[in-house]
Amino acid sequence: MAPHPAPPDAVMAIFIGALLALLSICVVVYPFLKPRAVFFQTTRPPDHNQETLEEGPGLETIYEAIQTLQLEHQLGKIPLGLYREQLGAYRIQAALALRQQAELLSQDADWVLEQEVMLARSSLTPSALVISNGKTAPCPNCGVAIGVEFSQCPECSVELGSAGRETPLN
Amino acid sequence: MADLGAISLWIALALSSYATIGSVLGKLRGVPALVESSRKVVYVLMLVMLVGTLSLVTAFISRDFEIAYVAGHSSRAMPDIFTWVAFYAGNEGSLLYISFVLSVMSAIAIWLAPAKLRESLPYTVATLMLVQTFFIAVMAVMANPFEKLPVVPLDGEGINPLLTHFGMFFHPPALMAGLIGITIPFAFALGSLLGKQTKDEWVDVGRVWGIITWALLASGLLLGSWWAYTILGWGGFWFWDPVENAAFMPWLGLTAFVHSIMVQKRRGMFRMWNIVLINIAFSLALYGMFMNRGGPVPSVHSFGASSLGWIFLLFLAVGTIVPFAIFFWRFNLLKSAQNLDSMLSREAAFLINNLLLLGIAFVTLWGTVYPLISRAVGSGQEITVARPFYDQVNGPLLLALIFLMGVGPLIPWRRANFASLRRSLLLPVAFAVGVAAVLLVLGMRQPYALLGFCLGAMVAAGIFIEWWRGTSSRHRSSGESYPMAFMRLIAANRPRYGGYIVHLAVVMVALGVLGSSFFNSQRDVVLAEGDSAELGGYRMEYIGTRSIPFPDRTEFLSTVQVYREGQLLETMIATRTFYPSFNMASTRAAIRSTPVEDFFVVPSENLPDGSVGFRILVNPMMWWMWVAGPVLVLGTVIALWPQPVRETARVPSKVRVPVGSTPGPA
Repeated sequence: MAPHPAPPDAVMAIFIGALLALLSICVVVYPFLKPRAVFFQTTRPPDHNQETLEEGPGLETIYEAIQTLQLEHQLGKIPLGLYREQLGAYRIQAALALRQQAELLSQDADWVLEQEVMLARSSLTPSALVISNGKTAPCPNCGVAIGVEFSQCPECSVELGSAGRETPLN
Repeated sequence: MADLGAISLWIALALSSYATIGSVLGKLRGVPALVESSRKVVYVLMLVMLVGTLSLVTAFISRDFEIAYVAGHSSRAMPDIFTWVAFYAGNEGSLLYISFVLSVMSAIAIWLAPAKLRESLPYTVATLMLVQTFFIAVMAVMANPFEKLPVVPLDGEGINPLLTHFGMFFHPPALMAGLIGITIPFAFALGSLLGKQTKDEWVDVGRVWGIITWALLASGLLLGSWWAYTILGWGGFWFWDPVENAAFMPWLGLTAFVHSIMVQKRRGMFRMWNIVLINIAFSLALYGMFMNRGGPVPSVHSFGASSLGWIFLLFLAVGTIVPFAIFFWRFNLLKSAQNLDSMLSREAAFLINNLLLLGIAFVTLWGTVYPLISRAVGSGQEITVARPFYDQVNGPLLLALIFLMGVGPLIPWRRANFASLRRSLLLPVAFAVGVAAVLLVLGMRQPYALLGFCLGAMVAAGIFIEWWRGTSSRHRSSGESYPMAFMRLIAANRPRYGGYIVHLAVVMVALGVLGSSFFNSQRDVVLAEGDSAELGGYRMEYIGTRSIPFPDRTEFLSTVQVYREGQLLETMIATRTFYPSFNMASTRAAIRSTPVEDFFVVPSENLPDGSVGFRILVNPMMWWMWVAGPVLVLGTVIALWPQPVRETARVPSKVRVPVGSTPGPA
């Protein structure tokens, strides 16, 4: 029979175990010691874009559904009449979702303030960002709010056809 | 290493218990710091479990026979490469492996959980940690992998000979990871119920984890079949063994779930149904673990006699009753956003698919528990349920499922009409009829096999026709080359076409099952050196056997030459190994595999006069079954690969001030 392992093994085990225990205690205790303000800052704020709408699928899902519908129509699985009917239904869903999202956004006081600041800055600048009639929509590429009449984004220079733009927000 | 492993287990037990209680209390009492602290414990737990796992691995590598588990599952003669297999060869080590995998999956799932699940996440953490606590507690109290022997032996007992196979490196880990992985989508579902986020918030994360665990289980089942085929020496791959069934049933439940969850994602429907499905899958996974460790039925797949059966049975009961109780408690919140538009729609096809899958799972469950029921009810006499029962009942259901696999993808979402469906089905059905005609001409008369091949052909044709139409459409509209158009078609619709690739893999498995079930031929012969035997157009000549002694075993390598039409095809070596310490022999078949058929030879006995008893089989189309594995994994990866984020679909919540604009007075 072989002898039992030498004592250093046990010492090493106790040392590493103590380190693990210490680390565990630190992780457990740290959130309680953090200043309250810091705690709330590090908690991720809800992203309205990620919010699921109360009823029915979100915008991303509707977009995917429309894409699938178009693919299935191209593949000959859906006749034109049914395709138009279903596309119409999805568009209505998308419009409702967009409206709900816009309502959610407009309830955000910070967002409203930023919009006002943005508009005020734009009105002082004879730049390409001047917005006629006060109507803006986000650039599909970089997300900057720009006048709906522009055909090219002044921020990222992406071509803006009418197809890629969303309903003006204001 | 034993001390460090044991210490890490106790720390892990304390952490998981704290996270379970802390998450719920923090949420109920409104203490965000407690919720945060419990969540972070999930990450530390992973580290602690890693230390525990590495302790056992190190003990195996250094052959630390002071640990009972190491002494019981390894020896000095065991090649180092099998250390990984020996790690989970017994009950204790496999529990540690399961616990470690759950800790890793939990940490990743919680880390990647979307912000919209904030309300339900504490309950998800609590569910995950409760399951984790169970496994760690069982290890700490009842099946400690770090338990020391009072006297250290000079050598260990060695690894079970049946486990010394390449397939064992992946089959048990994949299967165990798949079984425990079901906890992740289950925990998100249960968390959403408890946190009253009962709309579709959990759907994306549930779908992703559902598919990952589904693929793990599927790979594990396929690898297990391959292991059985090559090492068990009977030439088959599936025995409808109770423990095999116990792994197959959760896979069926998950298959139903990953289809059904797509309907909820797309249409906001089947909210109740999906919760029910994931609860069923979780219960079946617990049932699988119960059967595997100390369950009532002995099996080549179980860990033998164990005292853990009752505790796993108790956990199975709690894990089934409590989730369903919570489901009924929140029942009123689970109303679907929309109704089924038509029975002729993709949604309806998914529903029928779900019912068929659950039907197969129920039949398999009934066949598995019937011997136990008969033993309990019928004065101790056990009535066993064998392969004919499963073939007769599950066979037609599986064929119906393949039919649906061919028709379902051709039906659009929401609603279809018969005219468009007829148009879509025309070519695949015509191809299937053509295949049937060819097979009839070739002399195939078995109706089930004929139907199976036709349905497989229809599914494959439907998929290839859709790919062809999509590719040529892209080629026409954008001028892309055909290969590029095909790649971009797949890339633009990853979940859809990833799923189609998985369907192709299922068709390939079906080919192997049909071919080997209906058309295999078998012969048992005893051959002296220079003798030959014929089967299925092959002639096999036995050349001779040489034995190689090892410290723990003796290998008998029998060389045979295989001829067809007088031409030598291959010289093959089939092995039979005898392990004196286990008083057990294991075999390793020699297989010449082609897409058409396998020529399979395994030595069943080495006789004293030098002659050898051989089992020879010709198994048609088995090759397709094993190739299906990588195809299945490829399809899963494509389906799960993230789509690029579409900025156009988003409205920025904060408007950025563009670079270059003159700052004005705010």
